[in-house]
Amino acid sequence: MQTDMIIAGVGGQGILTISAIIGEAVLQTDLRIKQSEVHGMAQRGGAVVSHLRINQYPPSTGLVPRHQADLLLGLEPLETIRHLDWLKPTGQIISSIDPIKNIPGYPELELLLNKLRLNKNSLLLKASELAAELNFKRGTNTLLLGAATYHLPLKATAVKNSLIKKFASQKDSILEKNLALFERGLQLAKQNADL
Amino acid sequence: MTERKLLLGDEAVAQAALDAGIGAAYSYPGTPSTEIMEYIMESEEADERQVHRKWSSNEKTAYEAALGHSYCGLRTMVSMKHVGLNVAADPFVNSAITGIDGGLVLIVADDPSMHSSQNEQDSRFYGEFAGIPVLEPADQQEAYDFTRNAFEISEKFSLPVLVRIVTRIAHTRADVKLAPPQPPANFSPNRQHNRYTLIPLNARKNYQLLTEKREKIRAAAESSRKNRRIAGRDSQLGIIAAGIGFGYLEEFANNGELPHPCLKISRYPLPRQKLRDFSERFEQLLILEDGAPLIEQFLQDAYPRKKLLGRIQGPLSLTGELTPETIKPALNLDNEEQDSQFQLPPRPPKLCPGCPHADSFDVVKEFLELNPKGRAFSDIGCYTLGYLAPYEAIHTCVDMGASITMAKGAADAGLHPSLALIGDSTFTHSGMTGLLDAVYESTNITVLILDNRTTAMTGGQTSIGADSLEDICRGIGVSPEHIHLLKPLATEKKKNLKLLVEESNYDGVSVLILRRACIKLR
Repeated sequence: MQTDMIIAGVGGQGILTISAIIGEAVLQTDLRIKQSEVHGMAQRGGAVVSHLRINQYPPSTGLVPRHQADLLLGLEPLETIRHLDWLKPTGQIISSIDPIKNIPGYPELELLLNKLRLNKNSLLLKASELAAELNFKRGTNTLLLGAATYHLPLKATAVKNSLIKKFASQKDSILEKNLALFERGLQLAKQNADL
Repeated sequence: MTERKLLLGDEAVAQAALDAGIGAAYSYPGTPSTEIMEYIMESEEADERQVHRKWSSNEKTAYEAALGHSYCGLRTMVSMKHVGLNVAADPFVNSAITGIDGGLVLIVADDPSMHSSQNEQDSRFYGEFAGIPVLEPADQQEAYDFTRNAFEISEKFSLPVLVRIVTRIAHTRADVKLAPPQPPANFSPNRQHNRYTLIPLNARKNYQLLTEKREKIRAAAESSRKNRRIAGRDSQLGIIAAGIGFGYLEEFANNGELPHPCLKISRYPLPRQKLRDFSERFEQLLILEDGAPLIEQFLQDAYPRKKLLGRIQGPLSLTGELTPETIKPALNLDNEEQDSQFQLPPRPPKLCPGCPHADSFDVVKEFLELNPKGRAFSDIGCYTLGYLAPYEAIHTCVDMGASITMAKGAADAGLHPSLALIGDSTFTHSGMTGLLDAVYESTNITVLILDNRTTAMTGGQTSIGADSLEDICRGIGVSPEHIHLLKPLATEKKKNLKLLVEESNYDGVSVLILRRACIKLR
């Protein structure tokens, strides 16, 4: 069974880092991965997307066809919506609700969130608020990664190991805060799925 | 157990070159090829083995250095983006005539759909044109394996080998199995001076030899496993899939079985006989190439009456990259799901908050408002974003270095004021010679070097001439009193504008260096 995932957001938000952490986690298993990303001009504050595919055989290419993604992880609500067409009808949305309004004509946030709520499989997270609760405002991505991990064919420990590797060179307190946020995200996704 | 590594296609190519025992890697940064050289630069094994690895001024100097390294018997890799090969075309084409010594592998990353480029030229044509072998991987594992093999092919035929990748190979990460590394060759400079001295007397003989090699490499492509048939379910249609086109076709495999029989193409020159043998078995053919229709054009010429599905006769577009969606109609598969129709504001890239270029553009924009007849010829880099709102301060972007030379040509035609806006790295890449042309004629142009101390657009690689810009301009002959160092800051705007007005009125070449480091520099 192949799991196809889209990670969407704005250049500079850390999409490539999240992708790399999941990629490293896959490498600890027998599963195979292809993950396609955007480099270059678009990384300058433009819309950025990463496609990620995990399977027991090498996925054919790194591009997820439209209407085929099992999971859409959005780091920014407008970018989540921009990529809704990649999601399959039964697919899961996990999205931050924190907007990045670096463009003219940014739509009213409530309109965007209502659009996302139309999908019954959507988990909308007040990422910055939740991260602030755990005293780590910069850790929103780890929270979202935790929530996404619940829907990936990976054990949470594999992703955690990958996180530990990623933050190995940093202070222990940074790693601990990241791990706490990861757990929080995982837990929120589980609660949401149990509803 | 073979080692498995998570690598971008670019990194797989780089690792393969290291494992093939290269003595040097040369490159100029350009999306989507940059990560090849970056990987080698950061590699510990490259460090231990003292593999030579520094950025070059441009793709031409990189290619020539690679040829010189190969001349000494050592394996060498040179990497660039597709338009970079235009810059390196002269040594590239002629190195097919000299031949090589140590294996010389050229990696070119094409950018179909122009994600970060000004065109989508297909480098396979360059391979056919120069008469050298081209390998085209379908995925990251093949990118690794083929690059390893490319060094052997290069040495076997004494020819450079081009490995053509595309953005979706270059910037897709996959777990790649590595093969045991090979030791580097010994230093042994070439002694056949007639091979590398292309005066007509030698060149005619070498060119004759190249035509003979062309037949040999074509025969090798005919018999290569890289060009092979793969069974498929329904023989109503035959598919010829090149490079990543094969990957997209695999998307529609069922339990590992392709929907139709396929001829997978990964090695050029075109294996014409193999293409004919395959094509003659089918009433209808679909050709999947991620680029211009090279194979398809050959088949159309060979079989004018055959039904060919592809980019020329449709249903595929003549432009843009292949995707799983675009090939669906050609496979008679419907898109069952409807796309949603809601309109969203686009989010194009933009200069970072605090970017020094923004302050430069504020000055240029106001200057152009004062001088509506003026034009700002610009160039390739982050500052090309100055074309977009809110700056709308530049009027051209064509190729590396064209700002200065186009400004010169326009001034020759009577345009005034004629500004050239060029980055520090682009200036040393291809701007210096154009500046000499202007100095030679004392053309009335004003050159603004937007010096942010780095090659920013591709991620902040060393700008190898940034520390000597004033010296370079003086050396080229710009009069010292018309070379100015400015700081692009809001607080300096008035002063900078005044100076720009003054210098634009000087009837000769002026250079304003607007120097402030990119905010992304650590």
